[in-house]
Amino acid sequence: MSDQQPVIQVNQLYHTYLRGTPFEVQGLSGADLEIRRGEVVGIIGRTGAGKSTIVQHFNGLIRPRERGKVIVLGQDMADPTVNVRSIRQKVGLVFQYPEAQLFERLVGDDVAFGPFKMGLKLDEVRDRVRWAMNIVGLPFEKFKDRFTFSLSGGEMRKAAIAGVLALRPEILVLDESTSGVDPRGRKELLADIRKLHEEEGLTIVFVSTNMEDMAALVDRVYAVDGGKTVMSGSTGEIFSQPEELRRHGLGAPQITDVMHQLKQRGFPVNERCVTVAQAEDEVWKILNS
Amino acid sequence: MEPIIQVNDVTFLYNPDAPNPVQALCDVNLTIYPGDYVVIVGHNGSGKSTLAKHLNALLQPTKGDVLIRGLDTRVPANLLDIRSTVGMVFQVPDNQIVATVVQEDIAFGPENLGVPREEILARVDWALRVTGLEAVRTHAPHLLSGGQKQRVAIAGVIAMKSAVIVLDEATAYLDPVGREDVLRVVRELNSQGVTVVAITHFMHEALDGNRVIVMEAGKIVMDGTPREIFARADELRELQLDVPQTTDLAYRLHQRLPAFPSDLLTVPETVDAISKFAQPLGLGQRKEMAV
Repeated sequence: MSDQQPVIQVNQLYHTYLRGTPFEVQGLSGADLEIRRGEVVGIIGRTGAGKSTIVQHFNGLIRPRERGKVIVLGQDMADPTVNVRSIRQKVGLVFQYPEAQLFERLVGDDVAFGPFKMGLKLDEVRDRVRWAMNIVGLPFEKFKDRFTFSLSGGEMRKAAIAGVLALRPEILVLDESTSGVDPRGRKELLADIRKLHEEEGLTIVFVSTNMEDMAALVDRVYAVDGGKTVMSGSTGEIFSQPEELRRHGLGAPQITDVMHQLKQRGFPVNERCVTVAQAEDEVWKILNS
Repeated sequence: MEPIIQVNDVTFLYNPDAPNPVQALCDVNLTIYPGDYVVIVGHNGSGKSTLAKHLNALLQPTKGDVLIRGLDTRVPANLLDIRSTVGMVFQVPDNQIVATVVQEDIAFGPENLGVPREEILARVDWALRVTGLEAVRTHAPHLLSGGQKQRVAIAGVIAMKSAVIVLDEATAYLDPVGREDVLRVVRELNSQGVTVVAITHFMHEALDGNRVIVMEAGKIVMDGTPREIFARADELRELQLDVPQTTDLAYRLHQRLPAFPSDLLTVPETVDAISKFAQPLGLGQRKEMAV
């Protein structure tokens, strides 16, 4: 799926909030990352590390005005003539409390808002809404006339994601969109995201502080701290460095900790296991050899 | 010992007069003793938060009674006592901070209880120390990290000398280190005798408790020690709840090798068990000796 062509490039990016005021806060100070078409990439980092600041550059909510470069789908986001509207349609951003993005009375209307604003015809809007709702597991016929605020927390998140998907983005950015959902809702959301990647070929950027979710979903991880990129590599590479992760306010999934400690005790295991199933196979080798 | 919390046959309906009222709790019985650390798990909508809100009279039962130190939560005259006995910490830290300076926020609770000034100062100092917030006592709360904000909320509760702390998914939005900081403070308070009731979706947090309660559809469906509960992995899976990854691994290995224990909870326990089972085969140890 990945054809190596970068769709998002961030080079040595700096951003200061409330610049020039006494309340100045350094949001980013030299962040780097690159996302290629068809990839599933994770961004991890402690609260305040700069994760959200980075992803808000991806669709022009924040524009690079200081040092550094952001190229999205070939467009230099510092260029004032960039068509931000078209970028926002191609790069869909789902926020931390996605239910706060809902505002219409009926679920179907809420999901339809984006495509209507794009000026699409009713039939096409309806097709897109149907597709988006079905793919996130809110069957169109059953949910389109439900009151938005009668949905459960997990369903609200799905509705908000459907609203973004109805724009038919090429890149879907989820900023802590699975936090605070119950285990069943989280598993369903993760399965939806995987399906969007596998069946629809969407490029996925997943921001989270839940290391288990991260390990279960993404292929590659960037860790940010203090506004900078501090680690990057495959999911296995990153999570097999628990001490380094802890230095940056992060952790590894429990299972990676187990493998790491077995390795330290001298067992010949591959410590780059990130799921329980992988760990089971690795441990079985040393129990059974 | 006298129970500190008694929930007797409690049923609760949201909008009882509506045509289709939502039954959030259904004949719930629960007794909690001083010093307990009870972790409640279950899906959204299973009734966890509704139950938590009954514990300091934010909600009153539609049927049944809730008694806090023997005081009925339905009696208005009991409210001040009940609310100073049971402190709540909610999910989103920003929604529960009222003052513009950390130490003033912590003083807010005891001030409202009419505690004398000297006593408030002493309690604020103590609460700052226990929660590790001394360095930021004069900071603006909204500029703190999520973990720090939740610790401010906890400090506010303990400054009221609450005997019970109820944490309603207080770690949901924190990063791993922030989460660990909050849990460490909660463990410390529990070791000093504070009763803890913690609601969470993170199954490994349930390992801190001496008792785990699983809720589903307004009912308590499982109740036991963490080891007892997580040993029932099949039932948990049926409820679509997680088990800690270590327990999942132990369970899978137990399926392949029945002698392998199925009820492991912590990372060190799991590493030890695997080492023990691998050792007779001469792995690990021998490799170290050869080096």
